[in-house]
Parts: sequence; C-alpha cells; structure tokens
Amino acid sequence: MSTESLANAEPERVTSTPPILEARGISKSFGTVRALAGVDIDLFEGEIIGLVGDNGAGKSTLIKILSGALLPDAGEIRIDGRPIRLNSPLDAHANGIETVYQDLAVVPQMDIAENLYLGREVRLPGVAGKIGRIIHRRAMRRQAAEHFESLHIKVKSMRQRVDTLSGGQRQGVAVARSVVFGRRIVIMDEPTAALGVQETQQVVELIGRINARGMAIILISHNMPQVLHLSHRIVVLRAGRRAGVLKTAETDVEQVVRVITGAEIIH
Amino acid sequence: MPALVEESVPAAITTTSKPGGRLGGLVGSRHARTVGAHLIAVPWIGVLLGIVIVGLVAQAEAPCGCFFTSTNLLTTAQEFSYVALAALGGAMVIMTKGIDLSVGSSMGLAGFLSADLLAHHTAAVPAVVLGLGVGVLVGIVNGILITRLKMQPFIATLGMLSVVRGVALGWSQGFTLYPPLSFTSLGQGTVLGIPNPFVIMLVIAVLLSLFLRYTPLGRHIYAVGGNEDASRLLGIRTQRVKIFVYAFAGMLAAAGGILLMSFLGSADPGAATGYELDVIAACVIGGVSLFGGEGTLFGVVLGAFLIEEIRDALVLDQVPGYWTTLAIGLVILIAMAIDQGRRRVRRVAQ
Ligand SMILES: Nc1ncnc2c1ncn2[C@@H]1O[C@H](COP(=O)(O)OP(=O)(O)OP(=O)(O)O)[C@@H](O)[C@H]1O
Ligand SMILES: [Mg+2]
Repeated sequence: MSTESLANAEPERVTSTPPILEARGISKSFGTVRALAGVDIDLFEGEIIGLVGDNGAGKSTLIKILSGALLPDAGEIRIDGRPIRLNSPLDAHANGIETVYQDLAVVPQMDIAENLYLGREVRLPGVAGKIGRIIHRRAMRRQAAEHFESLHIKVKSMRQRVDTLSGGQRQGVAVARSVVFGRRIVIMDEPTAALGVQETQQVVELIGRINARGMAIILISHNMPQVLHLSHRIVVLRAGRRAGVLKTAETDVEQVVRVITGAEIIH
Repeated sequence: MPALVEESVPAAITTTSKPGGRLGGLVGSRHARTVGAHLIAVPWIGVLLGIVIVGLVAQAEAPCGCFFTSTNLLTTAQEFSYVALAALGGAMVIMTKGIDLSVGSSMGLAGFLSADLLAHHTAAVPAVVLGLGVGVLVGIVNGILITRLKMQPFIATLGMLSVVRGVALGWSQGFTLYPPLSFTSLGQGTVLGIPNPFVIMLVIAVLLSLFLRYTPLGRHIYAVGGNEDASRLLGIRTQRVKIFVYAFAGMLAAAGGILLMSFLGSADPGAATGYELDVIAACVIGGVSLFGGEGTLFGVVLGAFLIEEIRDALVLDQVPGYWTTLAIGLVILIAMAIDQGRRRVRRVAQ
C-alpha cells in the first residue's frame, strides 16, 4: 500500500449523495490583505483532497475557517447538505471535524496522554467525575496506549513528556488526536513539513491508514509527489482564489505546478 | 470507533531516544546524569536541599544555637505563611505565563478593608468575606485588562499595584486602623500548638494541588501557559482560564493580608508593600517556570519557606539586616539560572 498510489483506488461515489463537507464563497480579509476571495471546496465521503498553492495562497486561512478557528467574512459551510456555523473549534469538533494544525498544536510540558485528551479529559465515573469533575488519569493513559497501538505509533510510555519527543513523534501525537476524536473529517495542514525523510514516510503511512478506516481528509502540502501519491483530487488555491480542481489520476506534478503558478488556467 | 482495517505496517513511529539520552552532553558520568535528571524533573528537591543546608549552617553559626528549636521553627512557620498564601495564587498566574505584581497591594487593601469593617462593628465573617471579595475584584480587573484589552500582564498588574495601594492610602489618609482585639485570635491562635496561618495555608495548598492535578480546569491552567494557541484551538476557553487565575490570586493575596492584619492586630495602609517580589521569588525558587506551563505548589511553599528561613538564619547569626536583601537576591538569581538551564537542557534533548 505504501508504494501503490491511492489515486488508483478512487472511492466508490454514489453521485446522488451530497458532499459531507461543502464550502461556498468563503472570503476572508485581514485588514487590507485579501486572504480568501470567494473560495468553494467539496469533500466527499472517504476521500483525500490535496489542497495546494503557493506561500500565502490562503490554504491555512481556509482550513482555519473550516475548523472553527477563524470566522469567515462571507460564505457558507454545509455538513451533509445542512448549513452550519463554526464559531469555535468546539463547533467543528461537534460536527466530527478534527484538525492537525501547521504549527504543532501540542503542549510541550505535558505528557502524551494528557496532550491526547487535552480539552476533552476523561472523568471518573459517578459523582466524583460529574460533580467533583475529577479526571481519570489512569483511564486516559490506558485508552491513549490502546489508540497508539491500533495506529501503530510506538511510544515508550504515555507518561513521556511531549518536549522529550522528536518532531515526528510529536506530529504523531497531533495526528493521533485527530483520528481518535475525528468522526468523519480530518484536516491536516502540512503535517510533514517539519519532518525528516523517515518520519515523513511514517506520517504518510498513518494518513493512508486512517483513510482506510473511512476518514475523509483534507491534506495541505507543498510536497507534490506526496500529494499525488495520497490524494484522490487536488484543489489549487492561487492568491486567495480557487485556481482549479484536478483529478489526481488524470494529472501529474508538472500540470499541478503550472496551475499553482498560473501558467495554466483551468476551470 | 470505525472498524479497524488491519494491514501490514512496515516502520512505525517510534520514540526511541537519540544517543546520549535527554541530558546527553550536559553532564558527564552516569551517576551525575541521574542526579541531574532528578534535579531537572523535580525542582523542589533542590529547594529542600537548600532548606536543610541553611538550617544546618544557621544552627552551627548562631551564638544562641537555637535554630532547631520548636519556638524558632514555629515562629518561622507563622511568618512565612502570609507570603506563601499569596504565592499559591501567584504561582497559578505564573503557570499561565502571566505575572501578578499587584498581590502585595491587594494584601494591604484587603487587610485594611476588613479592619475598617470590623472597627465599625461588622461581624467577623462578612468583614472577612468582603475583604476577600476586594481581592477577587482586583484580580478580575487584572484579568480583564490582560485578556480583553490585551495588556501585557507585567504592565497591567504594575498599574494595579499602584492603583490598589493608592486606594488604601487615600482611603486611610495614612492612618493605621485597629480591629477589635477578639479578631486577633484568628492570626495569633494555634491548632495543636501550630500557628493558625500556617495550618490554613497548608490546607489550602493541599486542596489547590489536588485541584491543579485532578481537574480539567487545573490542567488547563498548565496548558494555557505551555501553549496558549494550541489550547485555544483545542477548545479551551483560555481567556476564562486567565481571568480565573488572576481572580483566585487576588483572593489568596487578600486571605494572606487579612491573616497578617489579624496577627499584627493592626491595619497599616502600607502593609505588605513589596511582598509581590517575595511572592514571585518564592515561585521561581520553588520551580515554577517563568516561561509558563510548569511548577508545583509544594515547591512554592518550600520556596517561600526558604526565603523566610534565610531571613531568620541571618538574624540569629547576628548578620546586620541590611544583608538579608542581598542574600535573597542571590538565591533568586540562582533559581532563575536553574530555570533557564532546565529549559535549555530540555531543548537540547529534543
Ligand atoms: N492572522 C493574520 N493576520 C494578517 N494576515 C494574515 C493572517 N493570517 C494570514 N494572513 C495573510 O493571509 C494570506 C494567506 O495566508 P495563509 O497562511 O492562509 O497562506 P498559506 O497558503 O497557508 O501559506 P503557507 O504555504 O506559507 O503556509 C497571506 O498573505 C498572509 O500574510
Ligand atoms: Mg499555511
């Protein structure tokens, strides 16, 4: 599976089902900087989309809007055809959307289990948990260990502080969190940007594995071979606009780069 | 959880540490490495060591030979409790990567307000509750200045240091107030021979430690200090967490101020001036990192004790009081250097 391209195994798509995630006319400005100017994007069940574009094209801004971390100035977001408002990351979580952010969203001073469950701590059963709000550290460690096992992420101990891990291992924690809590959609912003060759390979395999579990994924990456290897479709952003959507099976690195740079205009 | 699709997996992400381990290169021998590792992981061990050494030296050097007497130790316990109480709150603020310079002023104002109410025949309980309330109020103002007006914690609380002290001074017109004698039993009384302020401080320290360790809000205090952006993206209401810690710090400072007033039997509007520095020193010495996200209240209590112990030891050794400030300054610098070093070692270890 690691060598065969996922693009050859396009998911069966019943044309009548609406996209699970649908964004229309998303716009966002920061002061005078127009980061996004009316961008559309669809994500179908079980699909991996590669979201590509030059530096500053608006990729991170778009996914921050889709994950509730930023409010758009204009535009509409639908889940299963139903319009929703994502006012905070909690709203996105409630809709089954999890995000792995570009800048590693981990707390270095906390251990692996605590990072995994941060903001969603497991509480003790009964009164102690409900009223006393006491957290169940042991359960969190045990469950975290099980998740890491099932994702084939090897760690020595769930009590290991995250600042003692390497970049790839930390990214593993962030990815694991999105998989454990994401019910349907995982958004990843350059998950391998900070990693070495081998660690990149491991995260790539992890992405394939969670997709095989039925998770739809939006993957941002500057690594074109990686995007072509993993994705089913490629959405290109250019200066805050959607420059085109390409079927991965019908394109190649050269064409994607031409669309990114504006050398080729498609629709 | 979706059904697991098992497949053959080549390499998995591993956490085997790099050669040299976490502290590789810093310390040479294996033995030194484990000692170093413990000092880095558990900062309060160093403080405890400091406390023992200062105690032994003081006992040997003091002409009276009276350092290790219950009278002296209980007096020290009595005297460090006010600062320690305020430092518990100050530590929670520092854990969020903030700082609270207004705690000394809050101590003074809360003591003065309670004394004024008591002098005007208010019952003890409402007088204390209102005193604590003014501390909470100061903390909420701090929190709002920092979260809503986006002020630097240092600047906001420096301003509040002056404002709050100014209220106490202006209101009192510089006069000292005296609460009814009966109220002094709170600060001067004992439980099984142990001074009340020390008992109260210790009980609060234990409860707060459990809160920090075993509740979501307690954990979020560390998370906000460790990585505020990540905390927000994970759905933690970081501004609320911050307002909470400043309000709580204000309340604990007020508690320290009221106990101090009760012990002294007087409320000087200038009481506890400069205590914010002792509070911050206690935190730093006790291993609460100024970089946020780390520290234990146990360490803070030890840190506050060490400061008072050094003062006491210098008095018993008949060192002129002028040198005390210098000695404590040096201890603070050492603690800061250790904090920096700890950070660097951790970064190298990545
Ligand atoms: N918080 C912000 N304040 C001001 N401008 C911003 C902010 N965030 C993004 N921008 C601007 O919006 C534009 C799009 O930025 P964005 O981070 O979305 O790009 P990107 O496609 O993710 O780039 P990269 O590949 O470098 O990560 C840029 O011009 C950027 O400077
Ligand atoms: Mg980006």
